[in-house]
Amino acid sequence: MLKLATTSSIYVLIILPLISSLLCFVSRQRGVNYFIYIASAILSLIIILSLSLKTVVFGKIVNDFEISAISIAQEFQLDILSLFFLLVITYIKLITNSLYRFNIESSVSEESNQKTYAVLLLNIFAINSILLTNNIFNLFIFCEIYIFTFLAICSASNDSKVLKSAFTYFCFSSASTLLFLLSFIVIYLCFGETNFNKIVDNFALISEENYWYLFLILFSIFLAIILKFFPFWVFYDNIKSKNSFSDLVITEIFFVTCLIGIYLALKFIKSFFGNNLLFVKFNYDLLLIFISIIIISYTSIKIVKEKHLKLIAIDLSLITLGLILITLAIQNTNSLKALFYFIINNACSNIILFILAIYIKKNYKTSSIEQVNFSYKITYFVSLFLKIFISFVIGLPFTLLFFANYYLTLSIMDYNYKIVIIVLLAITNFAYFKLGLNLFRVLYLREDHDQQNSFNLCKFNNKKTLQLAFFLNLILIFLLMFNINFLEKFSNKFAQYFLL
Amino acid sequence: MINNFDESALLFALIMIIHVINIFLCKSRYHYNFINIFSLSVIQSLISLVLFFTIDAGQKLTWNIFYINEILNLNVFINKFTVIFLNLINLLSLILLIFFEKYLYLFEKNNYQKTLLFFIYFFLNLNILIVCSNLVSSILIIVINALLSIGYLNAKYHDHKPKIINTLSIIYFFQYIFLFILLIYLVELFNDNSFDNNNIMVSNLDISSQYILYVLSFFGLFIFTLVPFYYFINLKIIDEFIIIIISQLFASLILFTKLIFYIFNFNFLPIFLKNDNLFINIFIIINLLVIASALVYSKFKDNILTLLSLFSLSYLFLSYLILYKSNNNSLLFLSIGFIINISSLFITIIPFNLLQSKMNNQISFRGLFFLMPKSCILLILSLLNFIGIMPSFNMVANFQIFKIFANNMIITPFISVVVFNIIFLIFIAVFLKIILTRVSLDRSQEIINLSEKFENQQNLVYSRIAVIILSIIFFIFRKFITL
Repeated sequence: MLKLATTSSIYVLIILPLISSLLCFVSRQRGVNYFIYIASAILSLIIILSLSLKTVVFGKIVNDFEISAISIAQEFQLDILSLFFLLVITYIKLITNSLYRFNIESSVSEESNQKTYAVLLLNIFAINSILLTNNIFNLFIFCEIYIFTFLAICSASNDSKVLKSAFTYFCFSSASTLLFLLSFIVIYLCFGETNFNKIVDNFALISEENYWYLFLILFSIFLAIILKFFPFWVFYDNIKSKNSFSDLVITEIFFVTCLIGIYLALKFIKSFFGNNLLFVKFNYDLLLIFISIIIISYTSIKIVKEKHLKLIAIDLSLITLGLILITLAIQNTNSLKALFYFIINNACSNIILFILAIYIKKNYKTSSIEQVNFSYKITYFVSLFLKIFISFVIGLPFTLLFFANYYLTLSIMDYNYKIVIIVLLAITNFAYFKLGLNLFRVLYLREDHDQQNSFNLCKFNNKKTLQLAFFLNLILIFLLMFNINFLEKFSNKFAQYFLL
Repeated sequence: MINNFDESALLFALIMIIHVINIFLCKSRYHYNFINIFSLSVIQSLISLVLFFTIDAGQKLTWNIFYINEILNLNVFINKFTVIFLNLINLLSLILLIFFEKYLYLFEKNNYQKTLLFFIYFFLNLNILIVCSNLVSSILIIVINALLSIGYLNAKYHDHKPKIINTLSIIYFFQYIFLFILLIYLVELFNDNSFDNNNIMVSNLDISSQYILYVLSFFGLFIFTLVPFYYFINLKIIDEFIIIIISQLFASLILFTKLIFYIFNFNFLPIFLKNDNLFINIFIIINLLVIASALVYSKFKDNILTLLSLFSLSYLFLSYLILYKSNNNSLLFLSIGFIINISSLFITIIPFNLLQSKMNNQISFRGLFFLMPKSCILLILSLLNFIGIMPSFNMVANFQIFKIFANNMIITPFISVVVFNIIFLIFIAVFLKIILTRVSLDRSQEIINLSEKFENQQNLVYSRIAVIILSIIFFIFRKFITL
């Protein structure tokens, strides 16, 4: 009974957003649509949380309907990896789409508003399915659905720049689709299976001479994932755009899509390398370190010079990506724990920084922190939140960033290239530190009298959303910090998942 | 044991609560009532004194505040060592609060409230730092101190952005990196970073690891004090005192003493002197000589205080190296003596610094004794304190140093110590000669008013006397300061 309830809640996670997206068409009232959206998002978060304890204890929850021999059936699995990413992404969706409600909704007609909510829910459906499926053909289809929902959000923006980028992205995505299809067919031909677990089991079937097949598969999947899930260069120009929809698109690309990409990369690494000694054979850590050196040095130098908070927030998430690559290169328990904390930190602090940047942009027409004086514009509580938040950006001891840095530094003690990584860490931390101090200074700047008059005229808009987002986020961070023991256990399990 | 636990926990909690109440009082501007920051500070010092007598030697009480694992946790502990420092810091905070409250009220009315607030913040942090039971939490406090210092500068100079803030923040960053690597290195070597037991672990390490540990801890702790001093970053004297001395140097000294006591053990410090390491010794001597000559030739022009602090700081590090052989107490005496002396030096020299900014040429210093005799006497007394001629607390440590030389003569450190003391005496003599020269000068009314304030304001005079008396009290009751 328990088993049935557990597996059926996985189906609920997938079907719930699908049904609620259809429900959105029932009523055209904004409030009703928003309620449906928020209810389904919160419900799925609650379901994931209720499943989390079982997953952490048992390792994984799998549906065991062996319907057909060639396994094109709907196969789902909730393991620690997918649980972690589900939690993080659902949280990000909850936070960022509150943006939509308060920021964009008023400027959109009722009909398109209805459609947007439906698309946002479909988007959640696609993400949940990608994270839960355990079958490569299912994965292929859900990836396509995800891309279509994303393009639908882009099309709602009515901004020529965004649409241009979306078209370019569509081309890349099509190419990557072909690559995926090719590699999946090769996998099926090699292993005779489409289920991830069975691929691992059949791994011994490949003889030594046919290892170049694996190379082909890995290369094409690597390329496909980069094209489909990390198209940063396509959307980089749209970051400073004034269009509110483009903010939604940017958060999707830089905070959600790349997370899905990381998830898929980890999943493929696990299914190919997991139980085998291929890590030893294909030592790709130099390549990863080289890529991360390029990303980190470029973005860190940019951050120190950069004044626009929006770009800074995005660059910070890129730095996090570089650090994640380093953690993947090192491959030990501590480095995987560091990966865990880097992702949580990205979801907690960098995204809030981006939301803050959006509101600064809305109210002051610029997101340059040099020109903003909001010491008198924000309430006492928001300024207090900001001060606490700055400590998270800097990475004081006992914050999430500190744990990430701590575990990464611990993991490199016996590593060959430790000097390089220490230097990279120092550079990134300097960028964080500098940013924190810049934010700190903004809080203490006093306005000139001429400026003050002009600012008094413009009301500080959307204060409620800023407060809401900050409040939610800080509650989450404090919850995490006070239950850090649970987080530690979770991260231990997460690290062990790969290294068993 | 159990009774004591409750009692001491209560007393310690009271000290913290009083600090927090002080912060709110200072924020709300209602500190002229019957319950004001001074009366609360007096109560606080009394409580810490009571706490001193509730703890027996060798007794240790630990409380868990925030526990993650063996390494990352936020525990506090109280034993004889921490209670001695708590007493010292709370007494000092009371005296300095009395002095600076009046000083700020008279001379820096614009920043009165802000500065006082940060002053209390820093002393609260010092109190927490003293009882922190491992390196991670101590680093947390030091970084918070750094952020508060930058916040203080930002709050004070909000209309223009001085370049100092950028420079200071870069130094803070390096400090944090050094301490962070020290933490990781300690965890890697011993899987431990707590000040739990008198560890003997470092003595088992090879020399290179000991060097790395020493360099990391030394630079991590003192980089923020040394770099601004060597580069003569121009801060107002009150900013210099609050940011560099109280928030950083005191914290560093306390943490350094704790590290030496609880983690590093003594065996690894002497590597510099044991082999008669010529390079280190010559470096120290040259350092002392350069600063000394700068001191003599500067003749109260500018940065005199910075030079004096730097001079005494180099002497302090030398003394740390020399005193490794003697018992634990003499190192403790050294730290406590330095903390008292540097504060007494600062608050006795402030009147002269203020006068200096008003006067254009240094000739006006002549005959100053007849204008402000009390301030001059107090300054001379605090200078004498420094080399331990007065019956002050520094005398104990200096006595120990010469006792070591009597038993086992090491040439170069001995020369350094002698050079330091002689130069300090010369400096005092020169200073005396300048201020005792009778000249007939027409001093402006402004300067006369200023000097009268320092001579007649009770708070300013008594607090300066109190610091010097504090040193003597610690000297008299030195028998109690044993571990």
